[in-house]
Order: sequence, then C-alpha cells, then structure tokens
Amino acid sequence: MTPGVPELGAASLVVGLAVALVGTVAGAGISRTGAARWLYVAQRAALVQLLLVSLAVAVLEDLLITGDFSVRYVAMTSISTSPLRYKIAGLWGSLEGSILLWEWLQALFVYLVARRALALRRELSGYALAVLFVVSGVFLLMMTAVASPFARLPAPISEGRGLNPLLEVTDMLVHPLLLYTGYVGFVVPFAFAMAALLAGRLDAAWLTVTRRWTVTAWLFLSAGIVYGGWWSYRTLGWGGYWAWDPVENASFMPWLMGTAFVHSVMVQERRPLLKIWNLTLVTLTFALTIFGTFLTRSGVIASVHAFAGGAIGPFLLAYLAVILLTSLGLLVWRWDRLGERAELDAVLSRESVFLVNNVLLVAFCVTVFIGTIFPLLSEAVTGVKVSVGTPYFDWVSAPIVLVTLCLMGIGPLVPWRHGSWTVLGRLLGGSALAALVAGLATWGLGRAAAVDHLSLGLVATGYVVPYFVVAVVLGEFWRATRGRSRVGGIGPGRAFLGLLRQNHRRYGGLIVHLGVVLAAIGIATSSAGKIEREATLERGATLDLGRYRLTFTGLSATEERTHLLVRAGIDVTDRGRPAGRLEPGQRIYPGSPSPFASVALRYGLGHDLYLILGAFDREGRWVTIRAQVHPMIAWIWLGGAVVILGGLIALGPRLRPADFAAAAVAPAVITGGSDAS
Amino acid sequence: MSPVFAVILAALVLSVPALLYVTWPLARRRADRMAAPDEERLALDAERVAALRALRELLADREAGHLADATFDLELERHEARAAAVLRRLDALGASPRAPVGGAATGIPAPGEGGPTATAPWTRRPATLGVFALGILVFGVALGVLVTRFAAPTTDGGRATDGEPVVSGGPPSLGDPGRVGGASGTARPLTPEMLRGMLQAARASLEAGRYQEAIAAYKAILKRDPVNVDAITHLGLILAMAGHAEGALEAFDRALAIDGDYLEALWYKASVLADAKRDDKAAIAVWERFSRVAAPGPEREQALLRIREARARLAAGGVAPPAAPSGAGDRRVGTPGAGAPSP
Repeated sequence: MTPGVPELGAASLVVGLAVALVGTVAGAGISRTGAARWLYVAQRAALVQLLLVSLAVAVLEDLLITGDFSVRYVAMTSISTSPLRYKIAGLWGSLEGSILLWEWLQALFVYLVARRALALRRELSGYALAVLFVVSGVFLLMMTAVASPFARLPAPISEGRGLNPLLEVTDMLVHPLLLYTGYVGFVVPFAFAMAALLAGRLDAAWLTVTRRWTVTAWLFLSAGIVYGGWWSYRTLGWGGYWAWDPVENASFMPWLMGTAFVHSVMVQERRPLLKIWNLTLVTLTFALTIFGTFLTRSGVIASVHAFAGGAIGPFLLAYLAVILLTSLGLLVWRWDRLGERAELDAVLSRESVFLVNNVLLVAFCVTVFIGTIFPLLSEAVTGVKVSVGTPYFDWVSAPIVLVTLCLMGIGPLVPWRHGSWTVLGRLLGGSALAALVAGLATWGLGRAAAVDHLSLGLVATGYVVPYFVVAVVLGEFWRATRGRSRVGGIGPGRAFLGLLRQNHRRYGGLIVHLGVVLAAIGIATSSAGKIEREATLERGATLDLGRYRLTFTGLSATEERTHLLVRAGIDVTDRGRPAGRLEPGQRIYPGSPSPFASVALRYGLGHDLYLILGAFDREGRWVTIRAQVHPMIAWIWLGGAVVILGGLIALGPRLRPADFAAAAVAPAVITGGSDAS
Repeated sequence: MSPVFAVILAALVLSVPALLYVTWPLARRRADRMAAPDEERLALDAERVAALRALRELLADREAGHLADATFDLELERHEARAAAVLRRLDALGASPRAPVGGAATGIPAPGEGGPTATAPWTRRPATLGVFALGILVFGVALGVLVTRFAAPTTDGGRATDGEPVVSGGPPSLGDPGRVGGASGTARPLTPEMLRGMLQAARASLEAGRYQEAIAAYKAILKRDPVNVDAITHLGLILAMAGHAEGALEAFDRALAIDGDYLEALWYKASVLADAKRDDKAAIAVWERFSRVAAPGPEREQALLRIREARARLAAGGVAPPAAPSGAGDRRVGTPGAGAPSP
C-alpha cells in the first residue's frame, strides 16, 4: 500500500494537536502575564489550527469524492454510484468524520474568539482561549488516538458501502450542520465561564461577552431540532416528527438547559444575582452536548442517529467526567467570591418569573435525562435493559410545558425588581379574557364543523393557554407601538420598526415566544386530531379519509442512480373536487434487507394529507396504502421559523455610544420632562 | 514506506513551519505588557451597555403600561444615577488613559443595591424553603412512579452499526408473557384506549424500522395483556425479519393457540413456512385456513395465488426462488408493515 493523501490528513491532525497545546499555554500566558506576545501566539495558533483542521477536512472530502476505498471511513460511508452531494455529506455521515466536522467548527470558533481577543478583557479572553484550545485539543487527540478518519483497511476493497439510505436525502446537507453548529457554539460561553472562575472575575462581564454566542448557538440548535423533526416527518414514513429517541433527547436536553441559561443571563446582567446558577447552567449545557456525543457515538444505544461504538465511548465518558469535576472544583474554589450581593426585592418581579421559568426548564431537562439514561442505568445495575416509553415523556412534559407557557404570558408583563399586582391584574385581565373568548369560539366552531378531536380539555390546554400568550405578545406590541407613536408623533409603522430597532432583545424575545406558541398549537392539534386509515386497494378502488377520497390508479417503477423507486399513483379528490395526484412509494436498495418509505405529502396550513405505500403487488394490481391527515402540523414548522426570526431580531446590532445618549434623553421625552427631573 | 512512517514524516514537515509561525512572537524582545487602563475601560464599557439596556427596558415597561408612575420615577432615578456614575468614571479614564482609577474595576453597584437588607427576604424564610423542598420531593416521587410505570423490559442485545438502524443481534425472545406480568407485580390492566394507543405506537415503530422500540413496545403490551395476539404476532414478525424462523413460528403458533382465526398470524406463519422453511406443504395448509377465514377480497385472492404457486412448486419438485429486489415490497415477511392484511 502506497502512503499518500490519507497520511497527510492524519499528519495535519497530529500537528493540529501540537498547535492546540501551544495555544493553551499562550492563552494561560495572556491571563497570567498580560504580555501581548502571548496574545499574538494564541491568535496565530488559532489560525494555524483552523488551517490544519481545514486541510484534514479537505483531504477527507477528496477521499470521499474520489472513492479511495483503502481508507476504512471512506469504505464505510461512500459508494462510487452515490451523487456528489451525498459523497460530500459522507463527511458527517459516520462517526470519525462527524468528529472531524465537530472539531472543524470548534477550530473556527476558537479562531473567531482569538480574533476578537484584543477587544475583550485580558484575564477573561486569555483563560477562555486556553479552555477553548484544551477542548479543541481533546477532539484532536480523540481523532489521533482512537477514532482516526484516515485509518487504512488491511486491504483495499473495490466498492464502498455508502451512506445509510435513510440519510441519502438533501436534508442530510442541512440538519446535521445546524445541529453541530448549535452544539459546538455552546463551547464559547462555557469557556468564558471557566475563564471567569479561573480569573476570579465573577461579575457579569463574561455574560456580556458571550451573549451573542449563546443566542447564536441556541438559535442553531433550535433550527437543527425543528429541521430534524421536519425531516423525520417527511422522510421516515411513520407520520411523526418526534419519538423521544435517546439521540433526539440528547439534542433536546442542551436546548432546554440553554433556554434556561438565555433567560437567567438577563437577570445577572442587570443585578448581581444567580451567579452560581448561571455558571452551573452553562456548564451543564456544555456537558450535555458532550453527553449527547457520548450517547450517539459510544454504541450504548441503538438508533437511526447512532454510530458504532468502540474505544471512543470510554474516552468521551472520561472527558465528560473531567468537564464536570473540573467545573465543580472551580466553583468550590471560587465559592467565597460567588456570594450574591443582592436579593430578590419582591415575589412579583421579572427576576422571580425568570427564576421559576428556569426551575421548570431544568426540571423538564431532568425528566428527559432520567427517561433517557434509565435504560442504561438499569442495564448497568440489574443487567436487564428496559426502555422508557413515549407515554412517560408525554406525561411529564405536558404539565411543565403548560406552566411554562403560562409564564411566557405573565413574564413580559412584570417589570424588573418589583411589579404591581394591580397593574398586572389589569394587563392580564384583558389578555385572559381575549384568550377565553377565542378558546370558546374555537370550540364552538369546531363543534359546528363536527371536528371530533376538539374536546373541551384540548381547547382549554392546547388553545386557551397559547391564545393567552399570543394576546399578551400582541398586546405588548400594540401598547408599545401606540405609546411610541403618540409620544414621537410618528406613524404606527415607523413606531413599530423603531421598537424592534431600539429594543431588539425584548421584542425579538417576544417574537420567539410567539413562535413557540404557534408550535405548541401545532403539536397539540396534530397529536389530538390525527386521523388514519389503512387499506389494500385494487386498481380503481377508493379509500375515504375525512374529506378526501383516494383512488389507486396504478403502479410505476423507476430506476434511480442508487435504488429502485416504486410508486403508487393515487388520485385525490377533496370534498368531491379533484385535488391532484400523490405518489407514495418505496425506495429499494440492493444491499438493504428492507425498503425505505418515500412519503407523498399534500401540505396545508390547516392540515397535511400524508400517504405511505405499504405493500404492493409486483404486477401493480393492488397496493396497501396508509393514509393520514395531520391537522395543523405545518404550524410546528411555521412556529420554528418564527422562533428563528425572533432570535435573529434579538441578536440585532451592537449598541453604539450614540444610543446611550439617546436613551438617557428619552425618559424626559416619555414623561414630558416632569418625572425625569 | 509504511503508513505510520508516512504520517510521522508528513507531521514533521507540517509542524516545522506551523510551530515556527505560531511561536515567532515569543522570539521578539519588545516590552509588550498590555495596557492596564484598557481593562478598566472595557469593564466600564460593559457597565455602560448594561445601564443602557436597563434604561431601555424601563422605558419599554413604561411604554407598555407595566409600571405605576411612582415605581417608574423611583426606578428612573436609580438607573440615571447608575448611568451617571458609569459615565463619570469613563470620562475620568478618557482624560488620563494611564491614570489609575480607584475602586473595583467592575460592578458599580446601583444605589440601594448591595448590602443585606434588615429583614430576611422571602427567599430566605424557612417556610418558603420548606415548600420548595416539598415540591422537589413530590416532583421526584412523581418522576419515579412514572418512570417505573412506563419502563418495560427489552432484550436489546444489539449495538448500533455505522449510521444504520439496528435489529437486535440476538433473537428478541418472547419470554413467558404470563409469568412476566405476574412476577413483576407492576403491570396494571390497560384501558382499551391505552391498549389501542400502545399497539398503534408499536406498529408505527415497526413500520418505521425502529425495531428495538417496537420490541419494547410489544413487550410492554404483553406485560399488561399477556394474551394479546397482535403483540405476539408482531414480535413473531420481527423474529422472522431477523432470520429466526423457528422462534417466529413458535410465536405465531402461540398467537393462533389464543385465536385460531387470527388472520395476520395465519398469513405470517404461512409466509415463513414457504419463504424461510421452504415447507410448501405446511404453508398451503395454513393459507387454506387463511382463505377459509378471510372475507372475500384482495387478501384472500392473494392467499389463493400463493397456494397455486406453492402447489406448482410442489408439482415441479423444486424449491422457491429467492425474492427479487422488486418484490421487497411484496407480501413477504421481510417487509415491515407489508403483507399485513386488514382483518
């Protein structure tokens, strides 16, 4: 075997590891000595590390595209007949490559932080860079020692295995990248939190520096999770989008913890409260991303998302233990400096609402964590592996989500420090009444239209509570726009845009709440109102499903590049009117023992029609069709999009000195000059 | 040249320029301490931004009518005082960048914030803490109850392969449903709605190829309803798909012992006998029973077709050809969800 390109990739990772070590020393040097030369070394190390890891990525992509099947990873994830995009996606299609992508993102983030280091406080940025280089170095060590993507096979093979057919869809080019960026993004706030502990600078500075990183990571993770659900719904052919699969949970847990963190950060930014809580939350968020990596890559669980295990499992577990123990040690070490300097002033304050919201989100995370690891613990302790069913997650999540939704409605109406029960009552009264009326209208309309699933219980929980939040959010926008319009003498449009520009965090956050509520309505309605029928149809036979009539017209088969696609032609009529043709199918891969679904979908804001081809006769005389109607499922994806939009608004532009002066003058304008004196 | 040697050589070649470039600033002897006042300014800048945000929030609350006038005035005074303090300190830094600025670099406390208050706040009262502790205890107990209620034994002996869903490496044994339910003492009778839901969930898992999940779900059903023919039959189907024909036939026989006319068990048993065991004679007997029980329709026609095919094979004295790829969706055992007649 002639050494060549793969060895160049492996060597770049080894050198990257050495550079990460130098970067770690340089980072510590910045904080310890304050010497600028250490900063330059760290910045150069970050750049070189990024270039080296990029070289490794380029090498692996080259091997995947050219099909060098002497490399084990290429043989496992690529096949010569695969389209170029799936060869490229092979980079993150299996274990070692996905770690390489993860490390590339980490190296990119280290570089971006290092570039801005001069504008940050020396002690924080130095230690933060050191931590970032350590984290980066761990992944490089992992690829060098136990999971090399460039390992050769004992003897080359003539053809590779290719990606899992379930992954051969365009979504594979989007979902993993979103999710990985989200996961990896949390490394930056974690590094600054550790830096704050190491430097003993435990004010809110580390939160201010990392706020945009945190929100960005949270946004990517949110987008990744929603996109994953959409992919699952369209591709897997079971009509669902979330199965509480351990790996799905592994992405959901850091999201929950990160959501709690995004909220509690706002408290500490204003007042010296929740210091320990914030440090703990960011540590747990980061630890949960590594825990997710462990679950996916250790081989302890079987899932469509999971990779094979090997030595990487113990490595990741040890890494996780080091993260948790080191963080705990640092917290204990700095305990005396972490004493709170302020107290909550009143039970009714935004701080209190955020605190309760945090407790709920963490409790939710704990319930998911227990349900996820219980099978592993049970197997470890008793030797019997058990599985925790979906009902457990549904039962525990429903009340927590309901209370959290209520808080999403109440929170924005309560001011910082201390609110007034009278004012709150007045503001809540209107929104609650509006929600109740809207809920009753929904129920009445549902009854009139004979919508079976629309029970009073569903309306009370699945509609009235979300309506309440919607009413609060819209009321907030309306009141603020009206106030701004009156005071400034400007039109409502300008006033509204001014709101978003001047206070993008607050109003962006409210839009995020709106998105969450839309998704909640979609989840409640699609879960309760799904209808389904399955039937075997001969050619020309029909199946009635709600307002639809489906007629089987014939079977067709096409030879695709990697598989055979068998499709059933189904003519659809909607309340007697022609509504097009759907073609549910099955993808049959030569090397796969069972076929894969090719779902046919008719999207709609009110409902989706979802067809799956079950069995079929080779001669095309009959097919078995499973047909489902999912009411308002599109609202989940719509809600996800609104969440992203709100998050982008909340990220907004940085504050300029001029804004400060403007804000200082504004009170006099708002209060007519009398109160501000 | 061995690959290991090649890696070492390439690493050496890459490391020399890389490490030289990275460590070059260390070779320069310029005095390079970072300016201390910049630290101060950065800290105050952060304070300035925080004060600005607090002011904006206050104004937004005022605009939205969340604040009573008195509260707004009080808060405004507090925030303005804080902002003024920050600006004064920044001005001082601006006038003399290298002049030391007294006090802590960070955290200018707002007036009225900082020291402990005279009376213990509600967050420190024992009663409040007791209520929180009780809440956590109730939460923990509820979690424990739920997790044990919805946990079901599974025979997951499999491990994930690279990116592929896994069917258990070992056969997912049926066990003795009656004994399992009796021994555990935790299984509760199910309402028909719950049972239907669990069966639907199990079927959905099976048809989506999430075999471990399906096995666990069917086991959970059997734990509570040991004579559920649907669950026994589909566990048999999973066994058949995993290549354990004997175990599958045992499961189908068990289902048929409970309900001799259960169409799905009859169909799958016949299919396993014909396709896996190559026992056309026994398969014909089962299909004949199926065609007697099934209502007229495509399923029965299909059974009669399979009988004719099997008889033809018997007459020819040959064995069944292996299934062609295009038949993967045909009514064969190896297809999840396929071939399940609608009884």
